[in-house]
Order: sequence, then C-alpha cells, then structure tokens
Amino acid sequence: MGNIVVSPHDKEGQHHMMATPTSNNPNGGSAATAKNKSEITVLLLGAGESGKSTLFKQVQFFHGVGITHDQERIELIEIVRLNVLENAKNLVAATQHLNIPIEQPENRETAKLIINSLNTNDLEDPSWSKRLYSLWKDAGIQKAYENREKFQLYDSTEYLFENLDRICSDKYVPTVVDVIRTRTKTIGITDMKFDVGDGKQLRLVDVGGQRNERRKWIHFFNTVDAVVFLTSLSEFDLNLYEDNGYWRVKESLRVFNEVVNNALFYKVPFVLLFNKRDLFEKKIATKSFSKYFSGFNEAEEKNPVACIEYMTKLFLNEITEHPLDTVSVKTLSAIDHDNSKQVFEEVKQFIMTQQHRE
Amino acid sequence: MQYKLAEAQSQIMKENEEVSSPIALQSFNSSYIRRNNRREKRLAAELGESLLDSSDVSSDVTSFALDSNIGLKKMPLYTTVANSDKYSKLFKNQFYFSERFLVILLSVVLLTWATLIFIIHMVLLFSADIINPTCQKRCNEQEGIAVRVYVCITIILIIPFGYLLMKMRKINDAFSIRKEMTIMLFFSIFVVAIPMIVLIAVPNQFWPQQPTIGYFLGIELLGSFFISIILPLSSTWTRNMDMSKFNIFRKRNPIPTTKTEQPIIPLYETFEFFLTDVNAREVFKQFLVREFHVESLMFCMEVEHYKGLDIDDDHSLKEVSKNLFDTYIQIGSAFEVNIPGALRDEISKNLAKPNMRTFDKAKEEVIRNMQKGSFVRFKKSSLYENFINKRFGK
Repeated sequence: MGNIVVSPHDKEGQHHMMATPTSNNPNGGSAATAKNKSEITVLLLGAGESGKSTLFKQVQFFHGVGITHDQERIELIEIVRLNVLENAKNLVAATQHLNIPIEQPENRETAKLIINSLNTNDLEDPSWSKRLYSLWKDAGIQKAYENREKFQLYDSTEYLFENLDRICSDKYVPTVVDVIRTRTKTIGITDMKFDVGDGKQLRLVDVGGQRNERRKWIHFFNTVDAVVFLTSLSEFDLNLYEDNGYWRVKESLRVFNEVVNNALFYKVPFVLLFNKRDLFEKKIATKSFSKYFSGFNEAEEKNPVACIEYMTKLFLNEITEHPLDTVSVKTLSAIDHDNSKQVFEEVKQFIMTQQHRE
Repeated sequence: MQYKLAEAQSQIMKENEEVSSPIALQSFNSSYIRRNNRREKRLAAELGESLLDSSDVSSDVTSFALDSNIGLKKMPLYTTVANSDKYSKLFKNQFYFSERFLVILLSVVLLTWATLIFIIHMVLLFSADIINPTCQKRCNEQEGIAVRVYVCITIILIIPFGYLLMKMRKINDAFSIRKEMTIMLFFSIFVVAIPMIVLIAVPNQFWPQQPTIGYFLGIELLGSFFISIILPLSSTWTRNMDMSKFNIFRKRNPIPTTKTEQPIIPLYETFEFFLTDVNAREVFKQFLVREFHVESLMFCMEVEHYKGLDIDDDHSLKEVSKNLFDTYIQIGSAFEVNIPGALRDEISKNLAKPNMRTFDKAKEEVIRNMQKGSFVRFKKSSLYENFINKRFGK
C-alpha cells in the first residue's frame, strides 16, 4: 500500500489525534453531552449529494483515520469498482432512455454485458479497462454524458473513467483521492469524534440527505452545538435523485429554510458552505446560469464570483429567525484535500470562538 | 407524525442498550426479541398503525409477515424460490440438514416400505395359490368381490375429489395442495380405476391370473406416497437447488471467494454471512438500528419473504405487493427506503401487474448501499468485535 494510503500513524499521527468512528446512540449520548461540556457536536446537514460525506471523509483522513487494514482495503476496492459499474450502468441506461445510439458495435456489446451480467470481480481483468474506456469514449455515451442533467449521474464519473487502467488492474490499491471521489450514499446517521485541543472533543455527525433520511435528523437537533449546512453550487441544472421532477436548488433552499429557522438552532452558530466550487466554475463556462435564475443579470453569468454572490443572497434571504451574526458563509471544494482542510479549520475556529462568546 | 417512527426507533434502541454485552448471545437474543415484540406492539397502538405490528424487527424471516388478513403469515422458508441471484439464496436454509438430504431420506424410506409391502402381498397371494390349490377358486371369488367393492369405492371417492377441486380452483395455491389433488385425481382415474375395470371386464382366460386386490393396493399406495410427499418436495428441490453440486450437507461456506491471489476472506468478515446467519443478522440489525438504517434490512427480508410466497393468484399478489410498496417504497411511508425516484416510479407502475421480480432492483440497490456504507462501519464497531469473539472465540 505504502505512499498513497494514509495510515493512522502518518505525519499527523504524532499529535495523537486518534479519531474514533463511533456510532452512538444519540439519545443516550445526548444525556452524556448535556453534562459533559467538553464535547462539541457539529451536525453536517444538507440535501442529497451536497458533499456532506465527502467533507466527513476528508476530516476523517486529516485526523488520522485512514485505511488501516487489508480487509478494509479489499472492501474499498470493491466499492470503487462498484462505483465504476454504477456509473457505466447509469450511462448506458441513459443512452437507451434518451434514444442515443451507441455507435461502435463492440461498444454495444460491452453495454449489453454491463447491463446484464458484469460484476465487480470481472473488473480485475485489465482487458475490461480497455473495453470500458472505449465505451466511455463512444460518441453516443459522450453525448449522453453531455446531457447528464437529464438523468442521475455521479459527479465522479469522468474521474473514474479516466483512471480505469489503474482501477481495473489486479494490483489496484485505492488512493485517498479514489476514496474521496467515490460516491456512497449515506443512509442513516454516523458520527466520529476527535480531539481539538483544550481538552475538548469535536463530534462530527454525518447524515443522509435524501427526503426519507431527513426525518431522522431530528434526533440530533436538541444536542447540537453547531450546524454546518452544505449545498452544492453545481446543482443549478439538476433535479432531485429521489424525485426526478423537482429542482435541486429549490429543495436545498427549502431544507435550509427549515433548518436555519428552527427554534432549536436559534443560539447555535451556523455555517453555510457552498460546495463543489470547482465543478461549478467548469459548469458555468459551458452552461447558462441565468437560464435557471430569472432575477440574475445575464451579462454576469460567466463570472463565478457574481454567481456565488447571487446564490449567497438567495440563501441568506431564507433566514427569518436566526441571528445573522452567528451565520458564516464560505465556499468549498470538498474533493480538494487542501481546500477542505483549510475551510474546515476556519469552520472549527468560527465555532470555537462562538462557543467562547457564550 | 413524520418523526414519530424515528422516535420509536430510537426508543427501541434505548431499550436494547440495557441488555448489551455480558449475557450469552442466545439468551440475549431471545430477551431482545421479547422486548422488541412488547415494545412494538405498544408503539403500534400508539401510532395507530397496524404495519408496525406486522414488522417484527427481531425474530426470524418467517415473522416478517405481510398482511395478516390474507392469511399469509408464517410461511415455511423452504418455498423461497426463483430468480436465484446472488442474494436470494442467502436467506433460506437455516437447518443443519439440507433439504435434498431430507428428500432423499424420505424417498428411500417410503419406496422401500411400499415395495416391501407390495412384494409381501404378492408373494403371500401366489404362495397361497401354490400351496393350497383347492382353495384357489374360493380365493378368487372372494378376491373378485373385493375388487368390485374397491372399484365402487374408488369411483365414489373420485366424485367428491373433483368437486373439491372445482371449489379450490380460486384459492391461492401456496402449498401446492391443489396441484397435488389434481395429480391424485388423474392418477386414481387413469392408473387405478380404469385399468381395474378393464381387467375385470376382460374374460378370465385372457389373463393367466385374475388381478388381485393386492396388486391395485400396491399401485395406489406407491402412487399416493409419490404424489403427496415426494412430488411437492422434489418440485421445491428442483426449483431451489443447484443439481450439479450434489452435496448432502448444507454448504457451510456459501461465499465464492474471488478468483485471484487476494487474501481469502474469512466467512465471518463477509457481508453475506451477516445477511444469512440468524444470529449474525441479529447483531448487524442492532447496529443498523443505532445508525437509523434498519429499514433497509427489513426491506430486504420482506422482499425475500415476498419472493418465497410463490403466489400464482393475481389478486393476492397485488395485495401483498401493494402492502410492501406502502410500507417501504411510497413517499412518506413508515419505513421508506432510500432508492432513486426513477426506480420508485418504475415499481409503482409495475404494481398494476406485479410479479416476483417487482422489487428486485430496489432490493439490490438497498443491499448495495448497506454493503458500501453501514457494513464497513459495522466492522469497526464493538458490536461486531463482541459478536466475533463470542461466536468464533477469536
């Protein structure tokens, strides 16, 4: 494994920041946290695919919880390959759905295999790397990919297909970036704890974002010390995973409204993170931003700063109850290790100072 | 209302906390089950929802019953059928002896028994004729009367049999009783009754020996054993089993390890084990309850159960699948699972004409998510460690 996989006793291991992923009973835990003020509970909230778990994974990595043993690595291989297959399946299904023919006959053959019988073990064969790559480069698939706002596709599709020759070899070892880029839909609620100095522990809680998952959030609402709300900048042309006819931005705004104006959070520091900045900048270069927002000045639509400002205003307008001085707004690119580390440090500082003020 | 279920879940969880580690696993499980049963009944009453009542979080697959008012509770596991994809084989067969072993044992015992009776009967009759020729005529007369009586009885029995079948034709044939009766009817008409009449009607000299009642009794005996016991068993057998791997005892390791030189994964580390094994599944379920994710496992079990029902009656099938849909798939339902909207739409379209594969895609999706997410975390938890220590002493 070596250089690419972070081990718990890496450079940062010397700080003895052993973060332990725990899955605690929230109610039992709540009784404990009420007494024990040294624990700060931070909730990561947001609609589906806003990057909560990506940030969670990043934090896990730079607090020293990496891939520790072989068995876990094998599982990660499986998960990355499963992601490749899911992506391929989604793309092939989309070509059928959008009536785009796959052009090369051998690619059509591959597509048929993908839909019917391929499983992750087959991907160990390097010949599959070529076949999948040629399928990915097929004009039909590329056309479907360009129209990806019409169906559900992960953000990591391109990355995974470009790295096929590595993933499909029998010596494959997942890198940190691979793990960060794989999409695993979080279901339920998980958390982890790590030390943040001053004898304090930070408990980061990651939740699922789809509609059915949101009803589970309430268990943590009365024990929370800070809320980090994530929303994806690049979702302005997409519809919901769980409801194909519903615009994601509208959903994000709605969820944000519900959360930020919740009476339980009135005194709680609140961070609004605009995630996927990198993807957003790429996207507005090719797609019209103002088409989706009628109030936006069309002349400025290629300027990411103006667009983000507009989005910020849109979100801040939703705040009716929460005092604005305890709200912090930041942009983030969670797949970028350095950026997310920096932003998370800032968030941590913000939360700590707010705690202090109390 | 929307949050009540989740609250309920956490309450169950809190109760479970009380009975955690030190007790032996078995007693632990049973107390867990009892608690949950009581707990859930109360909650069901509170919520006014009958569905909680039918979804017993903790006992075996069998108690994941669907709708009590169509009488489908407590179905036997061995009918789990069809579409043997990677996971559908995992939920059945909790017995130590495999099904095929029982089938073979039964067939051998019954066949030997029936043949023995038949042979003894024939030998006795023939030897009676040979030993005591003077008695032959009287014997034949008696036999002739007996045969005629027997024919009458058979014909009389055939009539209510047919009538019953007529009545039963609309009933859901989950246990294959109707099929069995039909075969029995045809058998008694064409194999026993008609040949008997023919043989009796044909003049004596054509047959060297007048057919005796023992002969027909033997046929009837063999036939009825075959039809009523071996046929239903073997039909489930051929549906369930892979005939090529003839292995009398159940395979203890159901996991095909990957083909390359990757380290071989021990059974207890595989996801499949935690779905298959009753105790292991119980532990995994506890973990899922803590993670607020238990609806996924419940859904998988119910789909397995659903597929095992083997219903060929459209009306019941619709009712059962509607029930499943309303509990797990419908927006806002009590145990809504996390599946793509497109898939939900597809399933709701298929509900008009459901079949055994209606929920397969959703199950696959749900299983994949469990494997990718919760299971990875489960293996780092103390629950997992404790279980492995107890079970495998490692």
